[in-house]
Amino acid sequence: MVVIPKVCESKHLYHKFDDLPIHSNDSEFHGEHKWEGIVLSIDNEKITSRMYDFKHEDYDEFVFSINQISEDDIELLEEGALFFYFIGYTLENGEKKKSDLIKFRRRVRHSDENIDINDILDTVNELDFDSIIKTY
Amino acid sequence: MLKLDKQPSEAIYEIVLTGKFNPQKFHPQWFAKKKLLGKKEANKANDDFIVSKKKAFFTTKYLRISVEKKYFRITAKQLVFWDVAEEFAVNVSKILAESLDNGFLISSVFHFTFKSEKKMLKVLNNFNQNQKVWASILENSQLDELEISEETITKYGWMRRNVSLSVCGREDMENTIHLYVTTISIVDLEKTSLYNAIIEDEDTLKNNLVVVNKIINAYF
Repeated sequence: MVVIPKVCESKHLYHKFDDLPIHSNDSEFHGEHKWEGIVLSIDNEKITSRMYDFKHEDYDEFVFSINQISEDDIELLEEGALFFYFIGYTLENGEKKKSDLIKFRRRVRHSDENIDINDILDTVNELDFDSIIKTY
Repeated sequence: MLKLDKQPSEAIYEIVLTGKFNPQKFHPQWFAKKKLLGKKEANKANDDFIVSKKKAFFTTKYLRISVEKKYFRITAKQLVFWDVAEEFAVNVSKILAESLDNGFLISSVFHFTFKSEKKMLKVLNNFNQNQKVWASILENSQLDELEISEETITKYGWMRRNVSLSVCGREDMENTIHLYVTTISIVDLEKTSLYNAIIEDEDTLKNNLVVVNKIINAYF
């Protein structure tokens, strides 16, 4: 049963926040477009991924170098890892310079999200691999 | 993500968790320890980290984090980073589940600046459909603030959307109107968890922006 707050109880929430100026410097990245990606394979320094473009509802393959990943996100790199890819620009002496950012997603697991390995194995065993794998 | 039909001079997009927090606990290193930030990212966040008994505050490349005794604010620095903010909120709501209430806010705050004070006041007066009624009380009434809200039953509980307009009092913002579109969602925890309600909430911000575009096109 959800307890609905009265108008006067919830009203203080709307305007309580400080209205402070947002400081941004020119060298800051200005994002213009976002993709969501999944790492398909890692071959030495070459990472192959599939990207989804929400704006155009389109998939595309994207290959990038491990050097494009921030030091913090390297530990999150694995096959199946999800990431955001932003393209945009920075301003240098008033001039727009193309730029991009890769941010790996961080997912914390809640205690009630524990996955039972036996459930996974049961699911794998139930799959009909013969119908998926072609023999030549 | 939906685009606005008039570019605001400033915009803030945030998700706010409510509950009981000890701001002094929320050092950037705490977030790194909980794997919500990388170690380097947390070290960099230390540069502008401010903490007191009332508030902890720092920024990252993508977000501004502010923790007060009753509010945990996660602000996307740009609209394009909204998903990063939402994911951060989901992770926080998993880790701090015991400290949280069963509600969250999604707030979009805009500053729309006009060429002159006259133009700004005219825009505000356009919202006042009852000028004749007020004329019997004040001879030359001027609308300074307006607030409306609606309530809806949602999949997991209840939501109130509040829209408000007011003159911005900031010294660096002349001839500017604040436009707040804020939603408060209350989650029935017998139906789902708070973090799941946030994950499944894909439309609230988009609908807030639809409201803003309706206002822009009808009045600005």
